[in-house]
Amino acid sequence: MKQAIQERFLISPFLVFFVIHATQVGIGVLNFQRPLMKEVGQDAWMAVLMAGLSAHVLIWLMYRLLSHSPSGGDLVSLHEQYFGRWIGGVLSLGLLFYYALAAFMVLQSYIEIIKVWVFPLMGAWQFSLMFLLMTYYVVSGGFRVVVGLCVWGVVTPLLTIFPMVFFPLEYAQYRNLLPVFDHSFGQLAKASKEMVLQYLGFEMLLMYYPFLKQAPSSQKWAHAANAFTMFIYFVLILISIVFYNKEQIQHITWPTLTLAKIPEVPFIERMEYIVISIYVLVVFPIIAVSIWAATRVIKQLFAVQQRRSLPVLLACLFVGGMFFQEKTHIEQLTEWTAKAGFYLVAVYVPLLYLYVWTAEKVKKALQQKP
Amino acid sequence: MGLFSFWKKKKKRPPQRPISQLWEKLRQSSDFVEVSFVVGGKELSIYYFDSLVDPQVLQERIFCHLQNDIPQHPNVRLEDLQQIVPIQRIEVSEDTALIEEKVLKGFVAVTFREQPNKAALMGAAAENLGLRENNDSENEFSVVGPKVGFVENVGVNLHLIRRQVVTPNLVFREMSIGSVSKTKVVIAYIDGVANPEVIQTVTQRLESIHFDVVFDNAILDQLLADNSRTPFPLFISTERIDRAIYALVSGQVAIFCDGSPYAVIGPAALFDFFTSPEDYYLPWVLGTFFRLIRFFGVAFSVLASPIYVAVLTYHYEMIPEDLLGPIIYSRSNVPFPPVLEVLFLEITIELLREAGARLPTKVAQTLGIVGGIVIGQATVDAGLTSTILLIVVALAALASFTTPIFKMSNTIRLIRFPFILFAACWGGIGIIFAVCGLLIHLGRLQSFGYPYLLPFYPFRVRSFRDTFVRSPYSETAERPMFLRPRSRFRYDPNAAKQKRDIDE
Repeated sequence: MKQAIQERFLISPFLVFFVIHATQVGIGVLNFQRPLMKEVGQDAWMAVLMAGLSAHVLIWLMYRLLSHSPSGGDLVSLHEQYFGRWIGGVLSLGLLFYYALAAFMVLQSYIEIIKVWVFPLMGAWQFSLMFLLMTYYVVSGGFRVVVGLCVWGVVTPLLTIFPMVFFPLEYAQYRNLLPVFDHSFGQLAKASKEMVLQYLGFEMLLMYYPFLKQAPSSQKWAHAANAFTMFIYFVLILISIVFYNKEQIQHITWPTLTLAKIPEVPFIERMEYIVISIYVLVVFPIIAVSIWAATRVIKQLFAVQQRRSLPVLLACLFVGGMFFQEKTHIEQLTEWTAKAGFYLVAVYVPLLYLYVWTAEKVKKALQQKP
Repeated sequence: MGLFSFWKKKKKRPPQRPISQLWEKLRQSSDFVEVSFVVGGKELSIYYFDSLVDPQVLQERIFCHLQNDIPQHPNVRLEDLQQIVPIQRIEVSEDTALIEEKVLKGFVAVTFREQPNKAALMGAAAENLGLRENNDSENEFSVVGPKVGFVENVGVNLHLIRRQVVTPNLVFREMSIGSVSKTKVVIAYIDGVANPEVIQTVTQRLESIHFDVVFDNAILDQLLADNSRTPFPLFISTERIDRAIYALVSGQVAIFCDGSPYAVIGPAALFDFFTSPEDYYLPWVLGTFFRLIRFFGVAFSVLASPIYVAVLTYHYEMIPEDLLGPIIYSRSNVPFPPVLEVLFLEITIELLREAGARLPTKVAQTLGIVGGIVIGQATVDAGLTSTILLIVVALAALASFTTPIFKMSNTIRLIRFPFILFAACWGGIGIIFAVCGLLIHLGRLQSFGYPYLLPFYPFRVRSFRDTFVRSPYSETAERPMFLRPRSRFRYDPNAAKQKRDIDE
């Protein structure tokens, strides 16, 4: 069927850590606090942990699904194997749209931030064009180069942006954390569901799984990445709770960026400009990985070379970006992507796993009973 | 045989020319000498290039012995000359092409009348004539450590290497490259350390080179490169012996080329270009400090002027109040936007550098003073640039010269220009765009098939002992594993690590 991927294109198992973490942390980090604290107030940190744990379960499930499918390949070949060419093809097409949508959403949201914070008058298309040209450059280098970008996309922000969020602790009101357990389980569950969306990003694994050397052994790194994402969200929500007032935070669109305004150094002010600039390195890996995954779906599904489909896809995203200039449109877009991602990861993958599992059982039973 | 078979007929190899025709061709040059005389009843002819041959060897070894000893051996043949003439490896050949090549390399051809189609070839080349005898490694200077560098003669270079690497595992493989220059190129590696795959890649790439004259190793460097469309040097070129030997010991392969005082070393990673042999001669704390200073210098050199452009064009808000005063004061007379101001100064510095490099040393010093002080002061007085920018650009230029390898410092000087343009278009975000582009570019590069960003990507934790930090020698017994060497340790790690208790 599909030829195996040559060894020199594969990546070491531990690099999964960087890919998953880089794709998980994105635009959501900047404003996840607001809806969460609206729902459960000072107990938001529990929702973060609960959602993180459910993300662990979903990652585990995904690995089970991918490593137990006899094809040993990605989701597209799995679809083809269990649902045949046509139904499987339609399902894979959905996956393709989801990846493209994810890339598009991240790109447009980031451009929106640039427009609001840094360059209110500059044409958004310039940034869009630069991003897409560079995406072409990365993705045409192959998956290894994309992963390399993910490594930089994890390390650089961790060393530069992350320390900045601790500065507001100077003004912290630790009493804001009390009372603990002030909300019902139902409220927490609802908030957690909202929060799971912020952990999305590991669904790209469905496409790059065959590119991992000794893929099953990479699972611990995937979980480590998720745990690390959980840690970052946890730190951020704690700082937000102790720094902001419950009412105050509802009036702030990007609480994390506002946190970045606090640090004071003698030779520079308005640190959030630095954060927003370096955020290119946070956003870019997500776009690159999703676009890579999308072109990979196209290649597997229609046997179109990635070199051909890549410019077409990027051109579509560029043209599409022209129609999403309003803030409301982008919020709508985010909502769609979140919904699609939620249904893909939390509903579709478990169902698929159940189906594959049953199918394998039935097959085995039939084989044993000749 | 078909009627039209002559179409398919392959071009036959030209029949071997008789040797006399060769002499006829060589006689066109006035430095070609032909001496014929009769001694002891033998009719000898001796052919050589006057300009290539060492006259002392010619007279004392060849003429002297031929004239004195042949009369005592009346039946001597060309093959027996080794017994008479005290010159190593006398070769007797009928192959005109070989004779031609050897004579053109400074061999003396001796023929006897009875054996007209054969010639005995004796090496009498003046190897060091017109070449430097020594090199003080001026271009990669270090205060501590040996000062001897490679010279233009490949034989001397191999000698210098062999003298410090006293092991039979040190292998030199010779080949000849260049259709006109027939340059002697030597691949050096330590067998059992260097990865055979690398050796194979190097050999294959060298063999597939088609070129006319190899002037310098730098040409081979470019012809060997995995990607020719990059400003980054993919191989280290060094004139320092210690650096070359260190590379061999770590499992890299060095290429020497006759006529070039540089060794090309590969596979190289980006980090290799920022280490200096001096780091290893200083205590590790100091070595690490200077190495970190160098990395800071590179980052500063690339980012300083783009940040100036970005901040002064778009992000005025980032400047604190106290700093804003001096900046406004120094920029109030400048009629240009920051980009033009920066480009003007950067190009001035490039001009100074280029002019300084092309001029004789003594003039260049004067030029440096005139350029640095007079032009700098005058541009500020004329209101063409601000004083703050002058400081920034001068510091950035200074920082770019801290890189030990000259090729890399050139690259750093070049890549700041795209950074400046990106900063001028999109401010801080533009700078990060450029950084992203640079990272992707570096991620795509390879050196002899090895990723250029090693050990950073693919991440190899254990190889980090000798990148940002120059660890003490008790920690660096292990070879950098990303080169996939055949043996793991450079020296006994346990002996190096042995610790004694207090008062023991």
